[in-house]
Amino acid sequence: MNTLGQANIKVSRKGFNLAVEFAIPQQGVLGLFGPSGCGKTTILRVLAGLEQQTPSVITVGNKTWQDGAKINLPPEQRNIGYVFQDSLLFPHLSVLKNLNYALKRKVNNRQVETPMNQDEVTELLGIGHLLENTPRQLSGGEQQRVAIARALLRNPDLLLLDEPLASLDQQRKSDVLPFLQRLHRELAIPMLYVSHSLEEVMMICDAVITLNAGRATYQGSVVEAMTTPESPLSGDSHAATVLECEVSNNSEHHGLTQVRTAQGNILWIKRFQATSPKVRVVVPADEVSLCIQAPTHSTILNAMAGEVVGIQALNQHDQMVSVAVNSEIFLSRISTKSLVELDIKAGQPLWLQFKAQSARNYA
Amino acid sequence: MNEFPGLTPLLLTLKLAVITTVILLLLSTPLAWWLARTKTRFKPLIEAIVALPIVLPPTVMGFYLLLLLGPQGWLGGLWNQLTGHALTFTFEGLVVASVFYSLPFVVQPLQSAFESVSPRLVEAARTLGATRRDAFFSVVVPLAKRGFLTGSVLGFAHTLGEFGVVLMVGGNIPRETRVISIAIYDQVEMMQYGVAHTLSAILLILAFVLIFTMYYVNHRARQKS
Repeated sequence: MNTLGQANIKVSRKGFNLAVEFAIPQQGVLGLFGPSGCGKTTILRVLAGLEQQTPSVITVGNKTWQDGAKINLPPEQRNIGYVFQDSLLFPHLSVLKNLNYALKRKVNNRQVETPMNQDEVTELLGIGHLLENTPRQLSGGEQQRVAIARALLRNPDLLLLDEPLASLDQQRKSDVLPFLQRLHRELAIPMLYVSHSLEEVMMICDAVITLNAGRATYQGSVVEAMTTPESPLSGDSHAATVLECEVSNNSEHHGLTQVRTAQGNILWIKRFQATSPKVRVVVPADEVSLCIQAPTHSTILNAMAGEVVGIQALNQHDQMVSVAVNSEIFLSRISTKSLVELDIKAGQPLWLQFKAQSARNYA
Repeated sequence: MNEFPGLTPLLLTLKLAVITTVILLLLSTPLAWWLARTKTRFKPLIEAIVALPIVLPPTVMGFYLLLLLGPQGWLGGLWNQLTGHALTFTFEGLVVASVFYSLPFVVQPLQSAFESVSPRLVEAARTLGATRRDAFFSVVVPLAKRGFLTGSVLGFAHTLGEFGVVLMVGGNIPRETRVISIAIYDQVEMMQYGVAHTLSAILLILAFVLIFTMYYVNHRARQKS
């Protein structure tokens, strides 16, 4: 993975110590995942230059943004876009003037050769009809889309998103989520995405750093983070198999779409409007069942032969079983009762099954 | 045609109030911003000093200002070296005294207006490329505009009506320090109730119109938001 920069974030305050070092990727979305209070928002604030003096070291491109007390660029000299949890649109300005605020102060950026103009950004975020309104007249989801547009118009090297969905209810989340996925798909700009929702990480992020009490507990791609036993995500009760797939057959006839995984496994998922040949498929571990013999005469479309590579007890009653299919790991959450009765052990060949309807896809 | 005897004091008073208000806005804006954001433990002390003129009898304030602005006082002495005359019993001295006297009436509304502007909006402005100064003028000032209106009106109106401090520091010199409240007092002393009536009515109406306008504009702004 090419890197845009390097961040060594250190903050020590009364009762709180943060020390996290990571590479800022040149493209894609890097998730910072952890419970509240783990320091993930503080990392963004230090990157943006919004925290008081810290001994952190941050270099982006060939520029040092911060080097302890020696160098500490103010926020306006760091080429970032920042999307706050609560939008922070300027209440005295219309939507259009909020966008112009960023446009007037935008970075003359050599790294981004053709910055997006206002029309492109408003189109991308679907806010063209809101320009004359004041922020107060917008719904939470609309406000957040305007805030994202405003951050993009600054023409930043790096977009920082601080839980952009956390203050929205479920309905409003679905007003914003498709646009975030669109950014991921259509823009080259690298993003750091702070979240405490595993689902958002699985949907939006390419790589993830898991944090706990100011320390990074795992760094890696989202696909690996879900299935590597060392990653805390693999033991999460909401864990799922994340697969980067290509659409191989979009059969209108069955209402199903066939996709091929990176390792060549073929899956059927619910038909969807493919906007690009690439699709991310998420199979929740809860939806995957295991079978000692080859399942026959079943309505379940996805059945694959594999081998048990790991068993992790989640608690007294639940087990997470990792099954390798053509060296691709699938997670299955089963009961301890099933594990014992079927006598499932590491190294054992078996079959896994899941319904096409149970897999979720994210463009 | 005889000139109306109250005209000169009236114009002098307006001139004093305008100059004082302009100086007060320039001084109070940074002071109020600092008070609104500082975390120093000296903040209550500074706030108490700024608020003193509200409770202090004007004669007490006038007495100390007389000492400060006189030829022996450090401000008056400094002024004497620069201009060749002291500050007491001059229009300039009156301006300086009025600035002290009306300071809390401008600082306090500004400070509370600044405190109501979320520091996070300033952070948002900074991440969008605004310098500290740019963020202040493009975000804080427009959001605190009611504080500026209230501060200007109160500072102006309060300066219009000052009497005790003027008497102590400025005396009663026609065209120089004889402001409207002093002129009214003079007229009453001379049993000239007619002129006193006219001048009092002018001051009453002026003060009412100013204060009413301020409340009306703030009321409208509150309803809109």
